Amino acid sequence: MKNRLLILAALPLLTLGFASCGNKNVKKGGATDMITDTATSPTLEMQESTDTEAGLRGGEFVSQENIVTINFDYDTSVLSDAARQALQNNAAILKPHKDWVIMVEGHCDQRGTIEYNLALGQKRAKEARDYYIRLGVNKNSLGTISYGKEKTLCEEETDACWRTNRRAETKVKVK
Amino acid sequence: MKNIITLSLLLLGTGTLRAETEVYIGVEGQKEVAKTALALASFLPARPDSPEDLELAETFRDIVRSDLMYCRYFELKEDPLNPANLSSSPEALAFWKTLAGSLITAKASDLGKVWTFSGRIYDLETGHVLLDKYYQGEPRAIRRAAHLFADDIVLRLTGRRGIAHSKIAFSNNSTGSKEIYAIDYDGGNLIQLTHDKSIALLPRWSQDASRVYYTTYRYGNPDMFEIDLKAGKIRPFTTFQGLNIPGGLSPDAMTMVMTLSRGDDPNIYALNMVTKSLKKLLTNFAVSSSPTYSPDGRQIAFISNRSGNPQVHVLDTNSGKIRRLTRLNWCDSPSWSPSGEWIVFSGRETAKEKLNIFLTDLTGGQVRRLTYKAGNNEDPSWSPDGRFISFTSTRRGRRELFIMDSDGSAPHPLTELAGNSYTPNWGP
Repeated sequence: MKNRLLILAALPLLTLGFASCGNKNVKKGGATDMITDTATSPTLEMQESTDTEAGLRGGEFVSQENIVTINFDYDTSVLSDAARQALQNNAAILKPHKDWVIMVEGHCDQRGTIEYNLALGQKRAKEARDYYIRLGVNKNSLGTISYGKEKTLCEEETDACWRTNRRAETKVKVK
Repeated sequence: MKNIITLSLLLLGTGTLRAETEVYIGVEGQKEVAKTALALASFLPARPDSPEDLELAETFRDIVRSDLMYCRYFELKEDPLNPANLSSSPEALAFWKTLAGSLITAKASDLGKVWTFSGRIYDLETGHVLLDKYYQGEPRAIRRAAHLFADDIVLRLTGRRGIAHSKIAFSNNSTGSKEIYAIDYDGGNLIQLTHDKSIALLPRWSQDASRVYYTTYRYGNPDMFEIDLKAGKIRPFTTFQGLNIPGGLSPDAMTMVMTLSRGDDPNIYALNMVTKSLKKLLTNFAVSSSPTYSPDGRQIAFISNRSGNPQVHVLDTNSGKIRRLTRLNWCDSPSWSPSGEWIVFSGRETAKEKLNIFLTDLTGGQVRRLTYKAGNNEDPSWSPDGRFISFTSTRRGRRELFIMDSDGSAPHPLTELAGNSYTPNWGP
């Protein structure tokens, strides 16, 4: 990331102050729609990165056949024996694909809180990434992202559903 | 056997012992002051025959009256049919003096694209005008002006800063994506601040309420963006690889305490807001998150799972000393009371319980549960005067914004909003 990367999002710019939106008093009867009228013009100026992990932004990472998701116990990021076995199998598929960029997504169950779950999901993704690196997967094309409890797969209040949601998914995109 | 258990608890020290027992305490600062009688006259049309002026005057009065009721400092005295409402003649003031020590009067005029509003406080003992305020603006600023006048009244008569001007920033998913919104403390004036069409969460206000920082996945990584409310612009503020979660600004607004991961374990960092240089605050603290400054900026409360489960810890920024405050199954989202005496957080005592709001003192010796049997209750945030706590609750089904007194009494939904609402942060 030597050069500064400037991404200009071409959105219509409306300059609006704080109180500049329609006076929507939403107290009157029932749930109101939440359509209001601010707009923004984001300018993304990436920082020079000294992070130990390359940023792999952009593009869509998708699941691959035979690359499996691993699950975790409640409030832990420790890789179980079954998870390690699954990551070994995944690594065997990932390693020959020099054309792939790999993203490990960390997720949590819906019982926890939003903020700490983001941290816990990041730790889960990191544990899986670290294990992939030990297995010989190229670390420069191996990223992580945490979604906390933002992308749960089920919502039932059962042990089975909670376990399904506590996971690390391995997704890829072609370079 | 029983003796042995007791002994071992004693050996663990008083902090542990007290945390294990349920010590429920009264919250200092909750002592309500004796209410003073305050007369509230009818608000009058500036042009006596104008129905528009009359309607506007009544709109202003409704908002000011609600604000004065909400703050609970006053016992309002009203007598809408009395001719004393129609002037501030000596006779009228003499009438109000039989009811209260002070009187509020006001006049409003609706001129179409602009309105004017003038309000007064009379000291009824002397007949002197204590405060004479004049406002004018566009129609969309009516609520703002009424709230500012209510806070002027509170400040002049009690010496305390009111909260009628304050706003709550939060995330809501009614568009199909989580976006950041701001709403007045009374549920009015909803504004959508972001259109990221992604996941936008965890807003945090700047000290002067001119900016809101939040986490968004807009560019494929949980980055921290800055909303400049005056300029109406949003820009990425930190884009480190991994988590970029704002915890809040130091009192001098020079430092943001954050959760960052940067390819490593999530940790607490101090970000210089000008140079954007970083200082890592913890070593060997496992998964750490959710930092928040004490009001004096000398301490930072945060969450760490070093002991196995997420617990509230406090870091002294001068000495570097860290102490653990909680021993529950799960704790998150600490928020420091404006008085500095309490930390409110969401947590649960066993894995299968719902989440509830708790208070702890700064030793962890006194822990008080504020919500009971009412769905999941999360993300507490203090009002700027420390008398109320905003949070989210699923007690009515959807996740909604709720407000309660800081002793847990009088919980009520802020307003009716579509979708689910998340991570409220009450502004200054």
